[in-house]
Amino acid sequence: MSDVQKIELDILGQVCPACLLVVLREMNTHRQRIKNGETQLIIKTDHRDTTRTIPESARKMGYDVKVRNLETYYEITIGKNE
Amino acid sequence: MKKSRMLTTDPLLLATGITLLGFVFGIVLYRGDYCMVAMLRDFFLIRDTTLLRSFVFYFLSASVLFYFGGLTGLLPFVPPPTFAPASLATMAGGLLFGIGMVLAGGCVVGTLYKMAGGNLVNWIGFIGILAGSLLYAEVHPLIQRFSAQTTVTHTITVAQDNPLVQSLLLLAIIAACLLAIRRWSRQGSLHVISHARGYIQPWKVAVILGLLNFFYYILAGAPMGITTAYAKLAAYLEQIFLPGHVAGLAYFQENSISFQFEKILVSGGAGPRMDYISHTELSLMAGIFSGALAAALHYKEFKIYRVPPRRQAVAALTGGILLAMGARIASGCNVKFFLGGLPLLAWQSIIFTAAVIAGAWIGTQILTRYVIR
Repeated sequence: MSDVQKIELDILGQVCPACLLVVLREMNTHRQRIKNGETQLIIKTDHRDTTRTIPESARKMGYDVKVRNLETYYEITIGKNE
Repeated sequence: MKKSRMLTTDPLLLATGITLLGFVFGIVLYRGDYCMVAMLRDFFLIRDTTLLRSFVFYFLSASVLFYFGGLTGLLPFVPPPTFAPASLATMAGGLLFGIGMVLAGGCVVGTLYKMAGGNLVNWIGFIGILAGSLLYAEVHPLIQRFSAQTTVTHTITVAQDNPLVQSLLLLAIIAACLLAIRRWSRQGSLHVISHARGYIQPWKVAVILGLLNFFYYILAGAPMGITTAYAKLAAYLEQIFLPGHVAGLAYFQENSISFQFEKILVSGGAGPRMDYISHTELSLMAGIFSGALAAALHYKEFKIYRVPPRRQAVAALTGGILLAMGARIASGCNVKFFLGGLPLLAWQSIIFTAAVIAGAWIGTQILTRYVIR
């Protein structure tokens, strides 16, 4: 499946907890599509604590989560990876 | 006989020691991203209790250390000279502080370690805190009168009313803390998963904070405080432009603290001069910021990404002003009242904490409705 819709959320340099709130909202909006593997959320954040809270919330909702350390920030991917 | 080892008689040693403590504090706060705003706010937002639970570890370590510190004379002043009976000002200040800190995205120390990462929102919050401190200086006599007329306790701590009640209460809380910790460790829920570079587990951060505050208390004669340092910094800045005005303000003339130690009078205030506040709070502030900056640079995370969205900038500035006003009205912030006063069962701390929780809830409502959309 190469036509996975990728939604990029760049939340670098915003107020805490913008990252958490925006991601929670997007996860709810695209609930079904993420579950079906049709949509992936790709989040860029510099809020260190969200590398704990977001994966925790996403896993509770049953999604796959991956976190990568990139240069000066973190990239969190929510949704099926293949 | 009580044998004291407090170092207030040597300003240089005091300032150096506290700067070093602050440096370690800054590193630990940054690495654990240990935000006392998130501690309350994230409970309201997503019922996340990870950071709240870590506070149990803080309370445990600090209350035991403070207790034995008092017994052995390592801590010559229990309660510390920075505390007073509670008043309605404690409550009003706590409420404003709670709202402000959520809008600013950080409390007085959170703002410092987050600034070190390069987030401009927190720099705006910092400016707000300075501005709020100056604003307070204009209305200080009024607030002081209000505070004096509305005291709600005659004593500073529960112990001063009844030492037995204080001991029993502390023992009960400590027992409850231990039981909770045993339960969490059996569940395996103490260890949390974070992907942040150099992350330190929240419970470990909490225990380290307990130790740091204990050392600070030994050195300075009172547990950590930091908001008067903001007022002092702001006074130095205002003095550049309006020296006559600063000289005329009572708040910048008075000492906010003065106590006798081994025949030496120790005093300090918010005014633009070198005194006890410079050696303690201002040194702590410099230490925290540089420690956090060192950590951010070490993990190569320092970066200014963008000018924040306008709503967030306005919220941060307003939040900074509110939290500074709140801290001044209550004559202290979460650092003094949560970290220093709760383990001592100080009345001001108990009332302030309740008010901050209410304020944080209000702040969270404002944040989710008007700021982050």
